[in-house]
Amino acid sequence: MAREPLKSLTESMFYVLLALWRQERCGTEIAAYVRQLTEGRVALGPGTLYAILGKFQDEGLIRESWVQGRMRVYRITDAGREMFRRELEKMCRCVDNGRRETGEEEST
Amino acid sequence: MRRLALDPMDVPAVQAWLEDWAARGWYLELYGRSLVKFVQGEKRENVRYRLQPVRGEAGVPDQDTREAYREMGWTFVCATIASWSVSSMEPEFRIWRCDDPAAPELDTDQALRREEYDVLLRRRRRDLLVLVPTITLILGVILLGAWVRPREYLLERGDSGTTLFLGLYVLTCLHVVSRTARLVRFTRRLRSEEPAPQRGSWRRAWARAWARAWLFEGLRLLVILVMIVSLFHFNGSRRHYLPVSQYDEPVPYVSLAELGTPAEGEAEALDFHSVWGKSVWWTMEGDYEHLEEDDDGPRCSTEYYSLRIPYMAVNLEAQMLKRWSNVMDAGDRPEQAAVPGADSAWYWRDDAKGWQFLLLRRGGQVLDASYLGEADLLEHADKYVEMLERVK
Repeated sequence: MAREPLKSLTESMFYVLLALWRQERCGTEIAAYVRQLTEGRVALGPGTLYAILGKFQDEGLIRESWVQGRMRVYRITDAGREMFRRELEKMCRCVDNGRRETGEEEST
Repeated sequence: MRRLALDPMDVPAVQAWLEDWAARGWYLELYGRSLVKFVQGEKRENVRYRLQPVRGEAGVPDQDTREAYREMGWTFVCATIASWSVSSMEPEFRIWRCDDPAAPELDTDQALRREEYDVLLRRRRRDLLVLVPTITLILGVILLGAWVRPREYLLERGDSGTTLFLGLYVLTCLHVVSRTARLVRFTRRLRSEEPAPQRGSWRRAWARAWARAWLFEGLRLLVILVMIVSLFHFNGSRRHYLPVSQYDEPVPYVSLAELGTPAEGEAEALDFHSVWGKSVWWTMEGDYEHLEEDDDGPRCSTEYYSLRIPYMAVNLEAQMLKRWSNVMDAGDRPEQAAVPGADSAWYWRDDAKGWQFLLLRRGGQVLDASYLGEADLLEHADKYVEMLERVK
């Protein structure tokens, strides 16, 4: 059965792409980066992390840049950057709309 | 130590059960279809076990994946095999263990977890798509067979391999439906906003495992035993005729003495304990051991059928008549006779061999009598009708 292409990112997916935005990282580095960036709010378990990495590789959003022993290092592709930008834009619009409607924009 | 395996479809219950065993110092080593193997170790309170639906074909993850998980605190234990799956060796869940309380959960993204369970659900639904039409087809064939050729089914004993096999198959279907329903319930919880529980009460799952073991394994064993016994006692020879006096209940037959041609020895009868009929008996009286010899000594045999569905008696009567034609070369010579008290009666005399045959139908009862002797069987038909009334 053909897999449905990824239309949007979950929060975990978003942070995995973000973790690879500036530099290549291996799985554990991605998990540590996300934990640190979100101050522990978003924890990536191995089941989730490696499912996301596998899915992203299938979609061409990331690729393995090099393998050393058992360590695999991933880098984001142009398609991955494009996907991330689209998701970020969508989230920004959501935030803008929310702030405008609730009047929180002026107060902050 | 081995214990009965809980159905992995009870995900939170199985996780809780394994964690409780770990707290008592027993750690999972193998999760079989029926049994689970534990090995003894240190007692630990904070051990976590998690079930993860198998994504690809391989139940055991490759070394790289195992290492990657281990770096994040999770160790692969084993994979479970789908119980009662159509593709029976299909791995269903991977079981992971974590001893570090600080390590993150195995699956932290509920949406992704739900996707994995959806794949598993599709597989289980595929099982149902195969099983349900198959059981419907088998039942259809059996019912059609029972309708067209009721005699063969009436002679089927309740403990026969076919009946037991059918029972096992129906139970299997119910089991597959039940575990798919449980999986549907769990995936529904994954769809809700609330995080799905990691632990659940395992008492009910444990009771279900016991019931399944008794029902399925017991019945499966019984089927195998019956089939083995059938191999050695082929062609119904395990059934024994007994003198009618040894039966407590009334045996449906008319004796040679009642027909006015007494014979030596006692009539013998065989109760079929039929599962398809209310009562099925065969009786014989006279010297049946020397049939080949040119002896016209009185003999009488009777087949008696009382059907659970009376309307099927008409079909049975038609089948018996056809049997007269095919087996005894009666052709179209049997004639319908008027016998008071019977719904229908057929009589035929084989002049060449001296045998007489009488077929009576009365409500849901059918009686087929064969007689060799001086008396006219048709004249004694009223005795058979009285007997049918007596034993109905």
